[in-house]
Amino acid sequence: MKDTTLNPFNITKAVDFSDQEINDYWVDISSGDGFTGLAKPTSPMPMLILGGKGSGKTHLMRYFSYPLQCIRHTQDVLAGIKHDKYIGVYLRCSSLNSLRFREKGQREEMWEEVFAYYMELWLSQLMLSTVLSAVGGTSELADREADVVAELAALIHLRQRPSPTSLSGLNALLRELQQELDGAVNNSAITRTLPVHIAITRGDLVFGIPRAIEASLRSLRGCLFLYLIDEFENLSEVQQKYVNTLLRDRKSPCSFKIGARMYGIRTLSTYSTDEENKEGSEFEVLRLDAILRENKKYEEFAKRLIAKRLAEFNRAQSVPTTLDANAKSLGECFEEPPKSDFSASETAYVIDKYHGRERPYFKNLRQRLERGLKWNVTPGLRQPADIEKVLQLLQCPKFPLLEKANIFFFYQDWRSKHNLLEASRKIGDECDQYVHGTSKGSRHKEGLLHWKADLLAQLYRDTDQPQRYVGLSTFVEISSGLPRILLIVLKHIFAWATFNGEKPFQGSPISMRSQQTGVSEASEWFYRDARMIGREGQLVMDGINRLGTLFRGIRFSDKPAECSCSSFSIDVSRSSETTRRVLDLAEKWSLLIDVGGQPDRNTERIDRKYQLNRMLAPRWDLSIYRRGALALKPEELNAVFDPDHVEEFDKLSEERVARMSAPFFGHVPRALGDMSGDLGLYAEQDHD
Amino acid sequence: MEPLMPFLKAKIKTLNETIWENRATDPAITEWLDNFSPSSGAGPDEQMHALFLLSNFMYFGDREIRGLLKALYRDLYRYPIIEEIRRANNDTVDSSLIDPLFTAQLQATRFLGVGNPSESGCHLLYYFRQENNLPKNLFIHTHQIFTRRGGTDSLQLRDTAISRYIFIDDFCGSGKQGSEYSRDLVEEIKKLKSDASVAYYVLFATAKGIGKVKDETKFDSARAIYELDSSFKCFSADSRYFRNRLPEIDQSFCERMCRLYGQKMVSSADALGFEDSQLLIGFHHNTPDNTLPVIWFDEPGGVPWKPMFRRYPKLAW
Repeated sequence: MKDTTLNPFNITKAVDFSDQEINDYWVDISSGDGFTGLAKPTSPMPMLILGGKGSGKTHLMRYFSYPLQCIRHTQDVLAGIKHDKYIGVYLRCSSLNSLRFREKGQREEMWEEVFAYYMELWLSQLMLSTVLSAVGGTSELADREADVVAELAALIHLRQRPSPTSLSGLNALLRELQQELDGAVNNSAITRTLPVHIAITRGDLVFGIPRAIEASLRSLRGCLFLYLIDEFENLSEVQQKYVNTLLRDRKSPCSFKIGARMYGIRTLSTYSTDEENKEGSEFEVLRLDAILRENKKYEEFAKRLIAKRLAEFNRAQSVPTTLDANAKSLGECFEEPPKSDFSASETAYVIDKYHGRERPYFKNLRQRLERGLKWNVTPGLRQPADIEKVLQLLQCPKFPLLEKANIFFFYQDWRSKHNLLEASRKIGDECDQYVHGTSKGSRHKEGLLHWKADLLAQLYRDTDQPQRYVGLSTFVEISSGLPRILLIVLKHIFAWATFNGEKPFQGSPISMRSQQTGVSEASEWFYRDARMIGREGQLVMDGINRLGTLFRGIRFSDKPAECSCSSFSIDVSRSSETTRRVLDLAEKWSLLIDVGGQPDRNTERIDRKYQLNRMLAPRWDLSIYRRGALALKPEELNAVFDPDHVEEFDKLSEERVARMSAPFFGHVPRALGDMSGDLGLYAEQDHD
Repeated sequence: MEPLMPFLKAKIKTLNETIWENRATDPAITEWLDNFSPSSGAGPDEQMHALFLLSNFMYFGDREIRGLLKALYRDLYRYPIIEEIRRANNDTVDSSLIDPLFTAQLQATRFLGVGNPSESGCHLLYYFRQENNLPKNLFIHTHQIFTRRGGTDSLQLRDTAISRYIFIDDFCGSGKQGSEYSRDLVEEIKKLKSDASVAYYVLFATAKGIGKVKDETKFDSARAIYELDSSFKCFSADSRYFRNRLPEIDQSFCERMCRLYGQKMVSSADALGFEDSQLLIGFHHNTPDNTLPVIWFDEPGGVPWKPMFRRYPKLAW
C-alpha cells in the first residue's frame, strides 16, 4: 500500500517520489513567473540553488529534468522541449559513492584526475541517453547521426577499440569505459594500483555532446542543455573543485544548476590556476528557503501545497475535490480558540479550575511582595494588609488575561520604583476603563498589542496547560520557508488526529489537542534530526540548547525585556573565532535563521540578527513570531556558543533573568548575597 | 523528566500505526482505561499501570503471523530434512540431487491442524499452505489419518506411504493440548507404524509448555518458532516488563490490580491468564487466554468489561 494512502503527508522527501509523483505534487508559487522565474532554467549563467534541508531543491531540480518534461509534454515531447528552450539532465551526487575516489595508497592528484574522468563519462552518458530518448528514431537524427558520432568519437582516445557508428554505440562505449574504471577504482584497495587510461580530455564530451547535437539537429536548436547536479554537499572539496571548473569553463549551449545545502559548498576554487568562481560573474545564487520565507505569497503557496496533497489523497479515496477550494477552506480544518474579548473564551478554564482558591499568578505575586516587604524593596507598602490591597486592586476575575496584564504592568512599575499601592490602584482603574471601553490610548490596549502572546503563554504555564501552537497560519509560520517542515508538522498532526479517533480534513476540524501533540512531536523530531555528528555538531547543539534556555528564562520572567523573545542581535566580529564558526554552522544547518541586520541602540553599528528556527520554539515554549531581539554582547554570545566560555553561561543567564524578576530586579541586598548593584555583563541591556 | 502518561500514549500510538493494525485508537484505549479506577491523586494510579501494561503488549498482526508460518515451514520442517539429505549424501550441495529427494519427503508428509476445525490451529493451515506454496493434498483432517480394517473396529493407517505427520498450532501454553493429541493420535500412529515421524510445531510456546510436550509425549519433535521464557511472565521475578524501574510503576500493585479484576472475570487460578500464564501477547486472529484477562475479557454473561484486544472464546453447547 502506498504510504500516502494512510497519511497524505507521509512522504516528505522529493527523493522518495517517482517522476510522475514529482509532477503530480508540483505546486508553483504565484508571484512573478513562479519557480521558473526564480530558477531560470533557460539562463546560460550557472546557478547554485542553496537551501536548508527540506527547502524543495530536489523537487525543483527534478521538475526541470527531461523525464518531467516528457510528462508535461506528453503529446509532443520535442515540441515541448523547444517551447521550454531547455533540456534538463538531472543527477544526484549521492549516487556516485564519491568516497571511493580517495586514498587506497594513491596520490591525491591521481584521484583528482580519475574523478574528473569518471564524471566526464557519467555526465556524457546521461546527456547522450537523454538526447537519444528525445530524438532517437527521428529521421532528422538518422540523417545526421554518422557526422555527429564521428565528431564525438574523435574526442575519445579509442586505442584498439572500434569506432562507434551510432549514438547508442557511443553510449555503450562510454558505459564500457566507465565499467572498466569502476573495476579499477573498486579494486584499488586490494591491488594498491590504479591502472587507468584516461581516454577523454576534461570537458570535451560534457560540452561537446550538446554542441554537436545542437548544431546538427534543428529540433533542438536554440535549446540550453542543462546539467542539474543535486546533493552537491556529497562531494569532497577536490571533487567540487572539478565541478566548479566546469562552471567556470562552461561552453554554450550548456549550463548548470547545482543544488546544495547551505553548508554544502566546500570551495569555490577551480583548476583554472586555482582562481575562485565569483557570485555574479561565474554563477548566481538562489537561496531557496530565504526567498520563500520572505515571499508574500508563501502562505498561499503553502496552502496550495497542502491542498495538492489532500487532492491526491482524496482521489485515492474517491472524494472529488478541487485544489483551490481546498486551499481556501483549509484554515477551517483546524480547531482554534474561539475569538473573544480579552481572550475570555481561551482563558475561561482558569475560572473553573481555580474556583474558590487563589489563582497561581496571584500566589506568585503574593510571595514576591512578601519577600520584598521583608527586604524593604516594596515602595509604598508597609504592612501585610497593603499586599492584600494590591492583590485586590489587580484582580479582574472574569478576564484572566487582563489580570496577567495588570500584574505585568505592576512589575514594570515596581522595577521603576513607583509607589506600589498607587500603581496598583491606577492599573486597576485603567483596567476597569479598558474593560468598559471608556479609556483612550490606555496602557492596556498598547500593552496587549505587544505582549498578549507572551502573557497568554505565561498564563498557560502558570495554570499547567500546554502551550498552544494551533491553527494553519501558525504551522505555515513555523515552517520558515522550508516546505518539508510544514509537511512534517502536518504528518504528525494527521497521525495524532487519526489515533485520537478524528477524521482529519473530513468534516469536523482537527482538535487543538491533536494539533498540539503533533506539533510538539514534530519539533522533537526536528531537534533530533538536526543533530549533527562529531564534535562540531555537539558544540552547535549545546549552543542551541543554551540559547533556547536563555530565551525561555526571559519569556517566563516576571517582566520580560523583549516580547516574543526568540531572536538576538550581535556584533559578530567581536566574538571569538569559535563562536563565529559555531554560529555559522548553526545557520548553515538552519538551526538559526539569519533575519538581517539591526542597528545597535547605542551606536551606529549594524548588528547581525538571528532567530532560533521556529520549529524549535515548542521545545522551549517560545513564540514562533519575531518581535523584539535580545541585544547580546560578544561575551554573552561566547558564553552561549564557545566551549571555552560556557562555564560563565549559568551565571550570566541567571543574572539576566534576575534583572527581570521581582522583588529585587537584579539588585539583591548585600545581606542576601554577594551580588549587589548592577549585574555586570547584562547591565543596561533590558528595555521596557 | 517527561511525564509518563503522554510518553506511554506516544509509544502506543507508534505501535498502533506500525504493528497493531490500527486496533488501538485513543478512544478505544480511553474506553478500556475506564474499566479501571481513575486516579484519586493518592496512591498508585490504576489507569497509569493499565496503560503501562498495554504499552508492553506484544501483538502479531496478519503480516507477522504469515511471516512466522513461513519460518515454521522453512526452519522446522524444510531445512532439517535438507540437512538429513545432505548428510546422507556426503554433504552435497547439488540441488539437482537434493530437490527431488526433498520433494519425495514432502509428498510423504501430511500437515494437520491442532484442535477443532473451527479453532485457530486449523484456521492457520490455510495461510500456511498459501505462504509456502504447498499443494492441497498434503493437508488432511485427523480422521483421515486412519481407516477401519474391513468390517472390524481395528484401525489401520489410511495411507501407509506417509512417513511424516506434522501437527501445527499457533500457541502452546500449558502443553495440555499437545499431551492430549499424543495420547489420542500419536500413540496410535506409532503403534501402527513405529518408524513414522510425528512432529508438533507451534508458532509460540511457553518454555514450560513446549518442554512438557517434549518430555511427556510420543511426539518425535516438539518445537516453537518463538519460545517465551519466564521473563515473558508478566509478574515473575525476572519479568522483562518491569526491568526499567519507573518511579510511577509498581510491579506488585500492578499484579494485585490485575488479579483483583481478573478474579471477577474468570476463576481465581486463571485470574492472571489460563493456569497463571501471565502473558501479554495477542494475534491478528485472536488473543490467547494465557494473556492477562484484563486485556481480552468480553464474555457473555460475565462481568461488564470493555476489552482492548478482544478474545473470541471457545463456546461450548
